[in-house]
Amino acid sequence: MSTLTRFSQSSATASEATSATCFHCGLSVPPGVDIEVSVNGRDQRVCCHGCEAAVQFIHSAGLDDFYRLRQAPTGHRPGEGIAADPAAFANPAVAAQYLDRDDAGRAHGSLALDGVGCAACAWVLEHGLVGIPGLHQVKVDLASGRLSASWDASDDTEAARGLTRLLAGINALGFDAVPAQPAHELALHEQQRRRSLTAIGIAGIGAMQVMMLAIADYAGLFSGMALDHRALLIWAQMVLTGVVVAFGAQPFFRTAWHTLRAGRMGIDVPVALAIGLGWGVSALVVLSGGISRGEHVYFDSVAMFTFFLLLGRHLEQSVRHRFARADAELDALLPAAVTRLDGDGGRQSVLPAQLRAGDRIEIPPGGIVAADGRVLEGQGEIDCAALTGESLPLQVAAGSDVPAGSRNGPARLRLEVLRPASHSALAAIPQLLARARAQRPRSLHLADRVAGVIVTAVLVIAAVTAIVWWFIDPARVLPVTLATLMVTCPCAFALATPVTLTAATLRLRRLGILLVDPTALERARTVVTAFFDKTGTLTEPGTLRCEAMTAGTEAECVNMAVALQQDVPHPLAVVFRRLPVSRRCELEAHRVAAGAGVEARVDGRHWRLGRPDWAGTDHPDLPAAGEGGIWLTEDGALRARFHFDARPDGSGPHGEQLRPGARETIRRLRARGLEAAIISGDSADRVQAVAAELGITRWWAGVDPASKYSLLQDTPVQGGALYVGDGLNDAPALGGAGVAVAMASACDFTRSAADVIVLDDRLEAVVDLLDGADRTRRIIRQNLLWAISYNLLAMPLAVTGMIAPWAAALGMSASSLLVIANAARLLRQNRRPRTSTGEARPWT
Amino acid sequence: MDVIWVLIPLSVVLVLVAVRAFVWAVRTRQFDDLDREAARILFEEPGQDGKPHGEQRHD
Repeated sequence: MSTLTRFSQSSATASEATSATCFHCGLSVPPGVDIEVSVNGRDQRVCCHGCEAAVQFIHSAGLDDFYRLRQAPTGHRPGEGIAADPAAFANPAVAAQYLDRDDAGRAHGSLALDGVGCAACAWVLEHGLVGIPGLHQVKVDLASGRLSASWDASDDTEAARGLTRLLAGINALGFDAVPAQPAHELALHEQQRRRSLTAIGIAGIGAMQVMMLAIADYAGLFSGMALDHRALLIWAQMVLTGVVVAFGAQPFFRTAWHTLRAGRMGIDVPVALAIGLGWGVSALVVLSGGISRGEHVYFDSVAMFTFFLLLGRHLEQSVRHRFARADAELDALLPAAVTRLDGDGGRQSVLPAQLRAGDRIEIPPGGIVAADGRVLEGQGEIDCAALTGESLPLQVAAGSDVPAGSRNGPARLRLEVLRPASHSALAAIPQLLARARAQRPRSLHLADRVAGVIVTAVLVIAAVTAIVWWFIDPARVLPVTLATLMVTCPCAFALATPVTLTAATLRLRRLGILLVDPTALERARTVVTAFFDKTGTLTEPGTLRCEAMTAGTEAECVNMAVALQQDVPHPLAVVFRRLPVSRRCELEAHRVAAGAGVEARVDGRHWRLGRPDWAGTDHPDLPAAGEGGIWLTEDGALRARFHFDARPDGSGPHGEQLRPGARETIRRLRARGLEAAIISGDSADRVQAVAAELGITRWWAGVDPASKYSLLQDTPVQGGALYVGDGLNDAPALGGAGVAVAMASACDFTRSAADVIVLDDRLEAVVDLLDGADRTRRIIRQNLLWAISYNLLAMPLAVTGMIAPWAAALGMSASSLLVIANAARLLRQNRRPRTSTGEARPWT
Repeated sequence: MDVIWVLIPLSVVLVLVAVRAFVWAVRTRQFDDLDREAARILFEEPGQDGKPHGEQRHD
């Protein structure tokens, strides 16, 4: 029993310290819920039946180590998030879309996981699923959040059955998964990652060894060294650097070749030239016997330069791969399968793509609408917040149109499909995004712009030097030309930008800002207007206030209201569930009345929470519809009213409030001389209220995704728009903005359109980003200035043949080191600085 | 100092061996998942009966 005993001991402290959090997922146990699960004689509180089942299943499978070894609770309630109903994939035709079958009678599938965070989660999945009959192999890839598995299946029906069993097994362990399309792009990323890792390894190992030999060589310059020993050291350097250049530097040569062939000049051209010429010229020196003449070689610089550059590229690439998810396609926005109702009363689960106009479909409570449709049966609410930015749910009844991508409320809806999924407004968003991206002004780095000029200048100067020396002294043409090329080789110059951007990326990461595209820092220079989406970006759902009829019963009423809102798929229910609660309530006959409220029996009394005219039908002074807040009644008698906090200007209560830091953000943006504006899909009165509160005078309301993008185009400066958003409808605008910032709460698709992701949803991060961009650009400028002035200073000396080889080597290394040290200043504040108020301090 | 005629070429060969070993490691996916392998030793493999092997040992 020792495993189990240890398990309960180690978890005891944790559960006592935070008694209100769930043993399994670590989220707070909602009031009104009191489920305890007995693990080795100790009762552990969990937040829901999903977690309870997960704990029991994990315990019964002997996988208790999961709780001992995980780094953090999953933070994920089973069934919340991307959950797929396993039954939806029982249809072989649907399942076949996601599975590959091989000749050996096995099906292979890839599933996108939710709630998987650390090695322990992967372990519990791989071992907890072993018991599923016919399952051969389960492998969890943490980096991509994918699970791949293979199981016995001789035909599509068996393959589908296996998939259903696998999904059910994953659910039983407390995780959620949806089948994902065979991950071609993921495989491509993995291949790229492996290739760049190989290059880094070769360059790193090679560069260190070359450096060691070079240091021995430099020591010899001062203390004296036999010429043949020196030659040996240099030959060894040549061989090793040759390996680094041939295998490590390949990516640069390839891109440089592609850009040149396309008739353009990119940063990789000078990089490739520096590496190629550096090695080639040094090799020429060695082969022509230059060592005995005391000429210098630059193998060490070439090798180190290649290594550092590869390292920076690798960091950038891994961030991009991880957060700009490749599977962020239209498919990810729609449910994997949808229930189609056939004429004869049958139900069939089909792919959204298979829907035709006129089909009848059923949308379960909380489900995503798969295609534009018209309600046939059912009455309820749909939430279009992500799609249109409307903060309040829309009431729908028979005859109402429902857009694809909206989330259904608590009622079951039957729809008639109006047009195929590929023709919906939702499907137009990815197209709009692609168009916006194509039209975006091509961002060129300062270094990119100057690179072509510098490389050309270096080559011209070297050629002129060679010709001039040909007339002065033909014997010295080669050494002097080589020295010129060496001294003017833009090593420090080429290093200046990538090293600084890498440092800035790391620094911003510590501030909770994820830089997906580092060139955004360069574009931040032109920003003149900061556009904000309203719903979910500037605002968040509001706080409810309870006004009890009898003094002293507030806590009681809140307990009851929160209990009633448990497990209700409605935006308002989420707001209720955040209220503080002191006691649990046992509910019976818990029922949701669509568009009206929720009701249940407690201790024989009938409680209702909802619209006044529904909850308090017997009440004498019923307010008009839409007024009076939300009523809590006991057997028809009013017990409490729930209101959202009224706005300070008295413009009436709303279901949303400003995000903390919104005011401060706007103030700091103004202090920087930027204009702030709101572009929202929400109604004019709600947008105006928020704008007034923030003192923003430019705002647009009721804007559709396409117009959001075109509004940005009217910014006076090209690329001068910074856009902050979180909804699906923001994606085209993000694609077209000079600097695109997405909140972490945005869906994968929206995040894939952004240059920058704010990881903790802190709005001030926008200003921190701009400050960081300023500082980064300043340092890049200093670096470039230094590199160019060094080259300009040293060049006349080299051209006139006055430069000593060791001085050139020293100068070159010092120049590169200085550039790196300058970039490292960005990292100097090591931890995220916090003031006493807990606010992150801005850049200094 | 004649020994460096052996040592330096030897070091070059060793570096090439190291590079080859690294390439092999990447190709055989040794670097694919750096988080999990570090933690693997902490997990006990469940036995046939579904209980961890470690149990009998500690009793």
